Amino acid sequence: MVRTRVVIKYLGYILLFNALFLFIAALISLYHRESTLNALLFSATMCAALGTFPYLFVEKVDELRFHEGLAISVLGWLLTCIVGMMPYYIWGGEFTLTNAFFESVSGFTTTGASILTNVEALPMGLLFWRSSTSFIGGVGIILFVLLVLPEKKGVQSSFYRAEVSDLSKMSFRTRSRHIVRIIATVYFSLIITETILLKALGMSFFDAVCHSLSTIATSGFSTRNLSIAAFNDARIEMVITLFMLLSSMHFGLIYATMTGKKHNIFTSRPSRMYMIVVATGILLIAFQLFHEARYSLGDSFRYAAFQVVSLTSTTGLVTADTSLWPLFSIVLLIYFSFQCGMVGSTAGGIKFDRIYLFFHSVSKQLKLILHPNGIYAVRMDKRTIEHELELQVMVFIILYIFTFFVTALLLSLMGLDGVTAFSASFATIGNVGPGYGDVSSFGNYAAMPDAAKYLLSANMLLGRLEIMNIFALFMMAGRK
Amino acid sequence: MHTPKAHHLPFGVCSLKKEAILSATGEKKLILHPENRQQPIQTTMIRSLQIKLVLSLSLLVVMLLAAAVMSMMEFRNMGDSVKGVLNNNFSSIEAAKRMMDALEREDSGLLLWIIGEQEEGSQTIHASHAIIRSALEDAVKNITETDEPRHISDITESYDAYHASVLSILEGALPPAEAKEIYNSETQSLFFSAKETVNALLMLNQEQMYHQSEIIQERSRRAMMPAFISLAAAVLFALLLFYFIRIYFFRPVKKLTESIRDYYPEKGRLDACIATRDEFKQLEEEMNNLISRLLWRREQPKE
Repeated sequence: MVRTRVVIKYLGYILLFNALFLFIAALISLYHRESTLNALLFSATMCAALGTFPYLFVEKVDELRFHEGLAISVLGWLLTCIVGMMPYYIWGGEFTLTNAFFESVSGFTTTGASILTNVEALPMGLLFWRSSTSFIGGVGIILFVLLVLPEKKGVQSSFYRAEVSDLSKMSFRTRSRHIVRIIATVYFSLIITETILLKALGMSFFDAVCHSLSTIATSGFSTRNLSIAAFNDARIEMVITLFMLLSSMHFGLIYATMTGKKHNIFTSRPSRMYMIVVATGILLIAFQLFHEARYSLGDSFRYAAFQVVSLTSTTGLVTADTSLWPLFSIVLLIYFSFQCGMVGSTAGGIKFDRIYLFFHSVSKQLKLILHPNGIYAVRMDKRTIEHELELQVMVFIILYIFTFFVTALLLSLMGLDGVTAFSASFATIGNVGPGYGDVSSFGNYAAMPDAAKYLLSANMLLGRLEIMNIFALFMMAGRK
Repeated sequence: MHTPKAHHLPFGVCSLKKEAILSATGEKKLILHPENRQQPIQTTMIRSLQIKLVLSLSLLVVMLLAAAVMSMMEFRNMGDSVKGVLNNNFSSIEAAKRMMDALEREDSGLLLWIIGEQEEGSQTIHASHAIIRSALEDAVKNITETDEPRHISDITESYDAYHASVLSILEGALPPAEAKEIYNSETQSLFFSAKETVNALLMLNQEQMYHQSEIIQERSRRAMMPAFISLAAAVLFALLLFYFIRIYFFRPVKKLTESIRDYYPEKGRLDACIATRDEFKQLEEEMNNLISRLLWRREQPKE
């Protein structure tokens, strides 16, 4: 049974965490004397007051039940998205109620899909808040809360079960209570390193911070209307490409590489396969772009590498309008929008590990057809995958594709053209951001009907919470 | 002094020493030594219900205060915008209209002069010239837009050229036919060009006024927003407060009531299962102390 007051208490912590970032954004607004100051300060005060309230009444708990962890995880995301829209909506401009909600969900789920036609018109305080939403959503707000709060083991383990997938836990090869520390170390190290590099390459400090947050969280929010194309600097693109790739890899493996462990991104088989697949994609697209004389050889590699890594990492930053590329390249990019990064990273989508596991399961089934009495096991990095986990992966992939089709169908019912409907659906459920048609690389979601924006927001949340958690919560509520 | 004698109460109040002392009057009175009382829970661990309520209501006050302050600031900003529109754009528009009117009159004055009404025409021209100069000064005083100085300079330039042409007709004392020809060939085009520049200033300020009105509309929306949000937050707050009052006030009262109702001495301790460390827990402890004293007294042999 779920103890409502405990759920409320942790939701309060989440509000307090949001309030902290809102206050920082308000300070930036204050420094630049911007019109967003009131909106940010007011939102921060409201969040802080509502977040403190449950803390006053509910006492500390020693243990958190799994269902409570699940409820806090799902409701925490929803609450964060609702709270996150407050400064946008109060400030106004292009932000109607629907647009503010869409932008907030897009930020927290690190999708990076925007309704803004002129990002550069936003005051810096609001731009920082927009980047902060990605930063918070990158590793998940619950994990952030765990990092700040010295919670007991019983509480932490429930959150891990709700927030970190079983497949992801496998590559951490450590006790669950160390996982948060590892994730935080990698997350902050990558952000700090990228900020320093971007600043050194000539970006302003503010742009460097915002783009680092956006890259490592794989959200794709930029401070410029033309995204990274606005800088037109190959060195900046190379740095961002490298960090996008790192952000799409398992943080446990990155930590292992950083600390010189044997099992790292270069020795792990799925990780190596992932890099090979990405490199093959880049080569194929670059070859076609060069062959069709779209760009010079160097530029073909530059744009192909950036776009492939941007989409597979679900970042969605842009340097070229990919909708103008040849069809084969577009199809490959669509594949990468589905495949996405690895588990244990900040990327969304199906995840490469699941696809890797899927093909191994298929191979196992084929062997079983040939040798019905044989005993075969699916192995990943020398570890046998339990049948239950194998089944879980299959169910996830089926649910993912099913949700994608249902959303596309509903979008086309709302009057959107086929290309826009399908690409908006895969771009949001995979938390990628840009798609094709009206929502192409340099396009945005502003022209969509309000109902479509709400549907896509739900899609983004489903994608971020890996579908199963939301369905599990609905089942739990239904049973109650 | 009589040595206190140990007694074992039938129920398990473990912390009590179950000892009695005689009162100073010598009367055999059974009281518990202060040390023997069950210790109340540590004060530092208590989260007083009073404090909880006071703090939570303070939070509500903070929220409402934030909403009020933000509304006031936005209304003040809105007031500033309205003042800006009235003081700057509206004054410039008025000045431009005056210029336009005076230009028309100056042109009419010239035409009067050409058709022979020289005195009236000359008076009209001079009066209009004074009005235009004064309106230009007003426009210079109310420069608020980026492009405004350029527009005013254009007006000054084009009007000076036009007025010079008018004066050349007036001072040359030309015959009407020749004056008419000069008017048609030169002065009229200068008049139109001066009018155009004044019109540009008028348009600029009108556009800015429209833009300002949009800003005012935005600010009024922002001023209203805190009210809506704080209303929603207050509703949420009220719901939460009701929930917590139910959990932390009504439920313990109900538990205590039920445990008192179901209590009988053989049960020993009154166990209301109050999990919180607040006044209700203290009340439960004190009730147990009271029960232990009463039961212990009942067990004492009568004198």
